[in-house]
Amino acid sequence: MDYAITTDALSKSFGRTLAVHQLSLRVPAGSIFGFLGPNGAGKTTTIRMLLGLIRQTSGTATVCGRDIDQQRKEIASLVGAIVEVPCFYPYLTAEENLQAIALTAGLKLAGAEVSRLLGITGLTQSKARRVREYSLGMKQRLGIAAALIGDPPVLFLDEPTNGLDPEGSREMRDLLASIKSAGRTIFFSSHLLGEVERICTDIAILQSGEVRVQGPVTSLLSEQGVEIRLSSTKRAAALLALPAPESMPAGPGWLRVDGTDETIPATLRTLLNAGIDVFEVRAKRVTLEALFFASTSPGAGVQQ
Amino acid sequence: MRAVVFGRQVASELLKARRRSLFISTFIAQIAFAVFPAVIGFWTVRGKFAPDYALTWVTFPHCLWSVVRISQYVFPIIVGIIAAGSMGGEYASGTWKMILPRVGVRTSVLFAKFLASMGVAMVGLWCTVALGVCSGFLGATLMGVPFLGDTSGLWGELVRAQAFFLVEILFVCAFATLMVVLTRSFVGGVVLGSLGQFLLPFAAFLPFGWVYPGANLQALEKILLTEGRFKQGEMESVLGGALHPGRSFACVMAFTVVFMGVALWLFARRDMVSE
Repeated sequence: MDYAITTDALSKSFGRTLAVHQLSLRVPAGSIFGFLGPNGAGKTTTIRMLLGLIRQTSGTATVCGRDIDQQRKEIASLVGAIVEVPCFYPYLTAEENLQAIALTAGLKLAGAEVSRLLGITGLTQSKARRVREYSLGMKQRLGIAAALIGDPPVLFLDEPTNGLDPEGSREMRDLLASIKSAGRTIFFSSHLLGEVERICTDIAILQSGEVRVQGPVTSLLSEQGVEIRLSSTKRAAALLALPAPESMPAGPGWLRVDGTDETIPATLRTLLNAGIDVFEVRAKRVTLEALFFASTSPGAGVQQ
Repeated sequence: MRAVVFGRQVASELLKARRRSLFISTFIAQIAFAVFPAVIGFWTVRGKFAPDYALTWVTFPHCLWSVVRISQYVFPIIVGIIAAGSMGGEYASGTWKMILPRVGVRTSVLFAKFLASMGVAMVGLWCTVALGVCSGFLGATLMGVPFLGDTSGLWGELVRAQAFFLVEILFVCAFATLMVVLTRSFVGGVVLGSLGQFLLPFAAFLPFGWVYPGANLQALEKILLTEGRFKQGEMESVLGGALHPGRSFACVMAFTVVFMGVALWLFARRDMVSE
């Protein structure tokens, strides 16, 4: 598998405080990678190290196969980023901000390209307004536009939905889905679990500077077994010798059944033969919230 | 390629400077000195100033040098604010974290800001001088005296003045840059950059004080600037010997290079933890 970002035993200390400890990540190319963790877990510190804003105390990392120490200059042209709150020059308009950021990066943006970026982020109507008049949501979108300058293959978005209302969050989610073109990797840090569960293809959960869980969302959130919606959960539970349905929180009318691809068809036949109607069958899932709290609780182990 | 990137970084700084109220304010503060000749001419007509004194303000090239001399009291501070504002503004607004991940060589951005600050300060000075001359013409017209005086040797004096201001702006920008990078703040850069310019000249009275670049900058002002602020005897007393343009120039430039070198080195190496 191709990885857009790798870190090996990456660590960062500030004095005696260990912010990131022996972090080893593998971010698949083309993925939307959710980087989760409570406040102070080391998410922003990791992003700052990968972007060259701060130097690691030890360990190595690569972005697009380039070493963050030795090939910083090449990495600069391959990444776009929002680190924490997007900051702009308040006295400039959105257009001028994009031009200023592009020129500082050594790029010259054509007017059509500026219009395209502002169009993608829905800021065309406000392009002539000074950024000091922008709402937080508009600044976040302008941050995405700035990160897209030069069409970089890797985007680092550090909590881009922070402080947004539900409508703003939905717009940001749609925006991220639209900019995830073929091959682009989005490294998305957040502590809003619902957002991550909806958007991301892969995740890592960080706690106290250490990775606790890492992998594709589909495999981390799926379990062996199915959830079945049927006409009588009590009868079905008794028939299959399962605990009372009330003790299995799959929702009213649903029953959780353990099993594999080999045993589940037989279970369903048993139910149907007993006259119990089966309306819906779905793979049993754990929620990201449950996984997050399980992996960030004291004494939780590492899951890869 | 590197030159193209650097040129664009300078262009970015000029784009920001054009709209920034801080720079517009310093520009207005600077060109405010240019109205003096017209004001003096106006009040001389009403008997508030002696005509002989007024002639040193309203006739050319006296008006030019008078405006330069009086603006010199605040010009170094204004240059410091421009340089500190250019670099410190990025710390204050948190924009370093937006731009530095996209920049291959950090020092290139800082040097572009240094160069743009110099350009903005120099343009401000030229505008002040040009307006000062226009203001002198207005004053002379109000007083009804001929505007044009003795202009022999003017080009040489202008070239020497330009050389002095270039050295002064270089030194002040380098000093302010170092202060901003050291304090990681616009306010710190302005306060230390300005205080330093006021307080450090006292170092000239300490042992080896003659090495202090501020005193040598003032010596250069005495040597190169027609109608400078300083008296030769005072400068020689401070430096402990006769004025020596080569030595003073070497001293100021050496400190400029050291200040800028340390600023660039620190900026390239330091972590951007909260910026």
